[in-house]
Amino acid sequence: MVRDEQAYIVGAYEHPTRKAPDKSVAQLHAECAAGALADAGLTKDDVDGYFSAGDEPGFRPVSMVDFLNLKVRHCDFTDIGGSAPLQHIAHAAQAIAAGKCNVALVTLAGRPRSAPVNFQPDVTQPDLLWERPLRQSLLDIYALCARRHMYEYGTTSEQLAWIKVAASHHAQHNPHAMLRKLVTTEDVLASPMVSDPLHRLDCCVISDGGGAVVVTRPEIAKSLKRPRVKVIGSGEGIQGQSAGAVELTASAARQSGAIAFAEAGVQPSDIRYASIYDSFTITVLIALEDLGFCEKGQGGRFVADGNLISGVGQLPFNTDGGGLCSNHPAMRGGITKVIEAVRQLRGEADPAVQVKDCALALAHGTGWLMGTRHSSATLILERE
Amino acid sequence: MTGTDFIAHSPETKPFWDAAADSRFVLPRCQQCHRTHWYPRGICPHCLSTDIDWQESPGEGEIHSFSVNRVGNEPYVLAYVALTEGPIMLTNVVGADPATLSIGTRVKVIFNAAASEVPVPLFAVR
Repeated sequence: MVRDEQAYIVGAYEHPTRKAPDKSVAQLHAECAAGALADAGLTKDDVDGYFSAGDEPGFRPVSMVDFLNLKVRHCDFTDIGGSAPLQHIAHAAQAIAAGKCNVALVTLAGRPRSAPVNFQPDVTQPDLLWERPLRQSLLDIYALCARRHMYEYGTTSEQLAWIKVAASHHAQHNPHAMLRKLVTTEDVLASPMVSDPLHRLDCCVISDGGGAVVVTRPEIAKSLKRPRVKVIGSGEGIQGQSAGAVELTASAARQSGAIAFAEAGVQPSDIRYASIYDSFTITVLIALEDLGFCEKGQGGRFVADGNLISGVGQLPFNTDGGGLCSNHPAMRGGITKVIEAVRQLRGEADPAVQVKDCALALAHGTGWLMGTRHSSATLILERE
Repeated sequence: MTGTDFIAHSPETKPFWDAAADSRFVLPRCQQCHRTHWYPRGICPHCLSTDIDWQESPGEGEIHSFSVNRVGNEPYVLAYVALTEGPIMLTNVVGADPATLSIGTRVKVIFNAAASEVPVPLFAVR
């Protein structure tokens, strides 16, 4: 459907801040919106669709639309976690195709670094009753996936470390990245074991910031001056504990990726650049397998020896440094995945990491907790 | 936020907590499709029947995966335990040196309110 109807990403903006003690969450959302609209060559009065994912304050889109003083005729704040902005871009394309809006604005922002999130569990959430009384953290839950993957497929901590190493190779060229120091697999393995088998350097950063993307219909996109990035495929999925048939080594990316690739009519081997949500190294490894970049169980071998490093390996990934090194605003990395894919397709990534002739890219997100229940959302984007 | 608050908002699972208070482990089993599930609900996640029975279980199984959190002073083990009846459940494995654990280690339920004021089902090495 998306391919036939064709929607375009025409504006993308990542807030340069990684620490914003003097800005509100609403202000960050709004600054991101302004940046993406300026990038597109549009104004706020052109926006008639607004998408956000629960990280916006107050009455969610109602508060933000009012704060931004927008006049919208379509809004969506489906909150599937950190992958939500990828889903929102797909939903924006669908809404545009259905005639519900013409210019859709997607924003994400937060400041968990300046104002640590005091997560208040919802006592009516049915699964939390069986989780919160335990000693546990989200880190432990991802570590369960890593341990099982090691058991089933012989994946090693060193192979996981290669994912961080690749991210650090890219982050050294990003002046805004939180962690710009080049690291080796030895550095990752020597970092403290936080939740065995995951080390501290297997984890993403905690940063303030945000980003925004503008999606529009072909006629408007063609009237603008910026390079056009077409949304040619999208897919989503949700996977839980399946009533007790828990799967720790595969994710809903199997579904979201298969749908997106079928819709786009392309294969994983056609993809020149991939943004893969990287809350932890294991999140990347499992997604790469599920998206079909390698066989299930071969992810460790696939990521080793720099295969994800731009200019070195077969599949350059997260060339901004990703969540592992650069930015994980609002503890949700979905929007930055899209933004770096857009930079690559426009040829506007840092020259040191720009993929030559990057015509086809994938962006993928994992929301909430792989290992208990999570969402996946995949986009396939094409330079026109 | 306490376990008691969660239980108060989950009246369908009262039979589980009543049994647990008596140190008995029960599993929800559907009387229509005859399948067991985890985590417990008052409606079968296989067929959506509300005809749920609570079946006595020895609470035995083996470790399906585990992690050892070392952030604080005292390491703890979060695990998935595959019960003999089939379902794989999230829990803590307690009372063992984490270094002695592996996937496949046989464990048995214990009710220990140390981590919480509610009788949450934990597991110990058999």
